[in-house]
Amino acid sequence: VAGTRSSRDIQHQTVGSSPPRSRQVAQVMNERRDTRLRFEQWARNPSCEANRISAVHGVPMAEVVRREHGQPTMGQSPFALARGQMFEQVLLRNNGLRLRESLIQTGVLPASATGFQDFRLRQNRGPFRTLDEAREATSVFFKNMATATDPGQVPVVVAGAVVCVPGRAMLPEAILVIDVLAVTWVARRPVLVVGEVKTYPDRGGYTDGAELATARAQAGVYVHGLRQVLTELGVADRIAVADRGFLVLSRPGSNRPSIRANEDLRYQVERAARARSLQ
Amino acid sequence: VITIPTARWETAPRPPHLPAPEIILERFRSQALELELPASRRLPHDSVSLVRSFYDFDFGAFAGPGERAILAGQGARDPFDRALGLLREVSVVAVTVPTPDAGPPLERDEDVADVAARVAARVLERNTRFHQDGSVRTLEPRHIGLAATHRVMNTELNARLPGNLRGRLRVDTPERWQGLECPVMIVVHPLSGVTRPSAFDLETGRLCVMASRHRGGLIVVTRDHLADTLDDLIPSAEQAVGRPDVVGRGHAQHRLFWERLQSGGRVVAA
Repeated sequence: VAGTRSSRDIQHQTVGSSPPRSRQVAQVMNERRDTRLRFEQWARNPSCEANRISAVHGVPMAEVVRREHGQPTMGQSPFALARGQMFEQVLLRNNGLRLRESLIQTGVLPASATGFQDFRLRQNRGPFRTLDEAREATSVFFKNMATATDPGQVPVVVAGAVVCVPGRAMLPEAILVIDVLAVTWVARRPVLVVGEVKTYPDRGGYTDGAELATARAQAGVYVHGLRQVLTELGVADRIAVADRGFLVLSRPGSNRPSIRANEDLRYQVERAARARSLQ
Repeated sequence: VITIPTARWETAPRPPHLPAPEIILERFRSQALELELPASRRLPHDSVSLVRSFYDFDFGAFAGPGERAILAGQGARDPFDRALGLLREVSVVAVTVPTPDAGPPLERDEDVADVAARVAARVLERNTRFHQDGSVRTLEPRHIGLAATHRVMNTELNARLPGNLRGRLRVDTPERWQGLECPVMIVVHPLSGVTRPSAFDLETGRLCVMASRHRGGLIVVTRDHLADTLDDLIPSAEQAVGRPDVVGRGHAQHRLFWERLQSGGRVVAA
């Protein structure tokens, strides 16, 4: 899947040959606390036992293959990873200026929109050291947003928000790192619009359908997870989460973003809710 | 009919492969005067709630509760009679046919066609009457319609009818049933025999037409894998950027339709 992931995903990639195997596995297990990819992995093929073990217990599929006496062949191109990191940095540098401008141009945000809130980890050039710190800060941010009455009080672009979805038996800790949130206002109430960043180029009708499906599924998981978290925080009546989101793809041959607004996520949210209810 | 790949137009502002009314409405929706009929004249009262989920707007039923009914005479205690008996209380019932362990046959399903044809014959054998707006009339062959999405299945349906009924009942595809109606419709569910539904299969336009032709009663015949097939399916939104999620919507509507039949105790195993 070279060239298709943002640096949010890159945090959880499972390749690397220099550390010893045990340390490498421990590191990967720690990184896989972000359950978004595990959840999506499970939802893609819920009837496969190996896939279920990998997704539910957070064991990298390469490790499952080794236990089954197979030879794993997975891996990611370092060039693709670097490209993903660079794309995200271009989008979010200068307080997310380029992303904000693009969101205004495509009508996701109003022309007067300002403000940027960054919850990314240091390894992604953000201010936070750990997922727990970022999650705590995100919760405080949502609580403050719930008391705001004026759009000027709330930043319009939020990067790397971390939420912990209330647990279930199968996935007790479901931590989601959300690429981008745009904050709009409807009837004096903030509305969170979920955005998913992908490095692959926007080729119009020729953009790979399977890649788009994965991006939409992830966005659907975010919408579902956000609603649960806002309910748990007691602010669901003050902050809404939109059924429609946006995709941030790259323009072919450049690192400029191509925003695809108004993506219908209703049924992907339903899919996420169904998948979690099956756990 | 466009016979070349349309991917290049999927994200165009005015895609030439899509119906013109759809494009014009999308572009000028804010200027358009939209008028909606408040009720369905054709459908029985309880059918409306079943069919309404296929539409983006709300509507009710012209017929009041209990104003229409399909009243079958005394019969045996087999599944066909039980299904016909249910039509006294509700306007839509389903009859399921067991799915073979090796999977259902493709397109031409003789067992399902046989059940649908036997149901049609049984409606007439039992001197069934149609109660509508205070009047009652005995059903004749011309009052019964059959529909399946594939022509090969419609041919099979026709072939399975008793000789004295062949050619006297209208058997056709949902496309050709559009705009028509019958007191009793017997339809083969579009997903019967389809264990791995595609975007084409999940598109609910055909089911919507099939489920909204009856004035009195509808009997849906299907293989019994349907509920499992819909439960197991994880819809994937592979449409081009900015296009509606037809697969997700279709899957949700199919599930809702079938769940309502099941939860209402309207499904009879043949």
